[in-house]
Amino acid sequence: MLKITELSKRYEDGNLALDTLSLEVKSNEIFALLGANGAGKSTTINIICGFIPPSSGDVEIDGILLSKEPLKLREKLAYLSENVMLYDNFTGYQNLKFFTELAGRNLDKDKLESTLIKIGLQEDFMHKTIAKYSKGMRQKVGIAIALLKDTPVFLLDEPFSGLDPKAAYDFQQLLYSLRDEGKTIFMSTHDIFRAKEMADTVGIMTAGKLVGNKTKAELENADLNQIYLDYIEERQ
Amino acid sequence: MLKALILHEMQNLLKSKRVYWTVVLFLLLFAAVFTVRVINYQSQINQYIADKKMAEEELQNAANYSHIKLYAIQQPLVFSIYNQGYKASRVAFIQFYEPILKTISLNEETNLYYNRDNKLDITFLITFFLSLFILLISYDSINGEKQTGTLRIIMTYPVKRQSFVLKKILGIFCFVALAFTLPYVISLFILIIIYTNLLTASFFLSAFFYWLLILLFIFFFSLLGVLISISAKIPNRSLVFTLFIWLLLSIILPISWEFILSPQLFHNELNKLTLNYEDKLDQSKRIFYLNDLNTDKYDKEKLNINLVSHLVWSGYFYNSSVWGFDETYDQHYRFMQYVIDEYYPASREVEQAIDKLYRKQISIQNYKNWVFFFNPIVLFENMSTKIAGNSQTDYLRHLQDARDIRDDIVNRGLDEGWLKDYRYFARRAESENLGSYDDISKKFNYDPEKTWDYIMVFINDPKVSFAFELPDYRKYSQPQLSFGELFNRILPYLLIFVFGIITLWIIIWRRFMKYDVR
Repeated sequence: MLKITELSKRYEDGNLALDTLSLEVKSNEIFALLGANGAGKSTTINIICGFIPPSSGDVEIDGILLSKEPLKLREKLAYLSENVMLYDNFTGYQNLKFFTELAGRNLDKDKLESTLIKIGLQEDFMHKTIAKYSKGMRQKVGIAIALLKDTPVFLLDEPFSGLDPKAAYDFQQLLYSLRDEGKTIFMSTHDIFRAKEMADTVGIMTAGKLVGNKTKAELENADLNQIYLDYIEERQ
Repeated sequence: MLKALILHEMQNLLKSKRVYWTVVLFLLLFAAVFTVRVINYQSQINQYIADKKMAEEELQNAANYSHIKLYAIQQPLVFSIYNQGYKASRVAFIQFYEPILKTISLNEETNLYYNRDNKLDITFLITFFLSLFILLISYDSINGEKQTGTLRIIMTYPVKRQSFVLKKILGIFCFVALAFTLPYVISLFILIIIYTNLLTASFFLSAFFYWLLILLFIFFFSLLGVLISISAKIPNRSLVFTLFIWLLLSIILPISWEFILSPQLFHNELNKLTLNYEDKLDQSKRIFYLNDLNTDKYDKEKLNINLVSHLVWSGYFYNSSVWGFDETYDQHYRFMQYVIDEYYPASREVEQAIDKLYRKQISIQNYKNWVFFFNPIVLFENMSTKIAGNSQTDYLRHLQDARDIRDDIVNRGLDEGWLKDYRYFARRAESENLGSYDDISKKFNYDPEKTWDYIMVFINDPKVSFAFELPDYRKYSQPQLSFGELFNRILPYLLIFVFGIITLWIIIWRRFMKYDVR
């Protein structure tokens, strides 16, 4: 379970990027955070990941508080960004091995290779350097890395961006299966269609505030696109 | 986890093309330097053997004649194949008859002790480029990962920031340390196979301490590279900054020292000393001019100068030689009195002037060593000569030892009376009639070598043999420094490196704790 309590962030230039954000994402739940550029989505993820400190408020995962045990909190989350960042000089397999070791897990070669195959990476690319990978292939290795970190919470930053339809579909199915395994999935996105289709809860952010929080049932017969636009206009 | 991080960093460096070519270039330089040094070391060994033989012959001669040279011979320094240290003070000698150490000169060209045999020296390439090599592989260590985004991913793992930055530093350090240590050990191994006489405890201790200091040097520059990488936002900027720092340490500061600081701070004073030294030298030389002997005390007529050749210019130094006819014994006696009463005091004044000059030079060198502590060339040369027992201070100590022995001999000669005994300086020719001075001059054409040969005829005459014991010249061979002595010598370097490393680490730690990883 991921719980964000009154999280605020004011940058040194005075800009209030996040204004007392509170939300809760339970296990077995996919939460999609919608918002325009500069709405505060990335700041939220940056704070949860520990890239920047919050001005106030806290983040909690399974009872562990960011303010108290930031390192332990990182053990509980896996992060996947829009552009998966890997070591270009290493192969997909070597990248996976390194990050798995970093997570404190020593898995054998078979397990690592089978994970890469499972997420759909072509076998003949497994031992080629990342520099030769397409964006989709990098994304797959990134997914494998996140999976093998074996955490209860997944933070996804624009995860579908740049994926071809087949890869996007496969990834979507994978997220469903992760949710069904009891994982908490928190993703920021611009993609209203996919948010409505996938998310159990959709949050809408503008100017650092969570202005809307709709469940799947509430959105079933509603036009999410219109709701989103209404919130933004109201705010403006 | 730290182990996995460091190994990963080393693998990452190994896979980088830029690093690959830097290492290849470094190893090629190392091989070239090593080859040149091995060849040079062989010529040094040959010279050492020749010097030793000459010293032994001189001692043999000295037992019968006054023309004594005391030698301070230093073995060639093998591990200094990585520096220029071995070139200093190959041999220091004191001519008993000619006590001025003419070989001490400010001019490196004419100073035996600072004679650079190998002008085309490529050693500096290693010392010059090692720091650049480290900086070039570390300048983008942090901001490069920030740019590619891998830093963000790592920061979502339970990795402390200190651990991450330590991974970077240790990864770079281990990588460069290996790149240096492997060829270093291999080259030492080859040298030991070629020159088995190197298998001494002192040699291994020196090699070890040299290696230890180089590792500290590498660690310091690894930290500096990482600090630059944290300080600049993007790798391109840190590359520019790196090149600037390197140019500043290696080129700009030394040049400004040579052309701006050093003349202002030291050269005026040094020039005064030099003038003083030259005055005294001239004064001392004048005493020896034959015309100067034409005094009441040393009457030219009485001295019968035609039959005494006191000074022969050998093209290198004044060589004193005397050969004996019955008539000249008295002159020899007077001459020796003159030498002891007037020439020695005058020459000691010159020695003192030279010493003052030399100490000034050392103090300037010391200033320079501290000002340019992190200048690779100054640092390497200074460190290695200290470890090798071959620094200027060491040389001065050797010189003083040799002078002490000379004074000891003079004092003993005076006390025991043999120093003024004409038999000691000239021998009667019984086996051959030498003829007049003109005949001799014509015969030998003033060639000092031949003159010496001729004198040997008298020396070998058992009827006039005169022998005394000389101190053991081997006292002057290169000192075999103990662990404690070596440790004391490198202690200031160790302390400065440790202080520098701790300071840099604190700065890095503080900056990286606030570093924006996004």
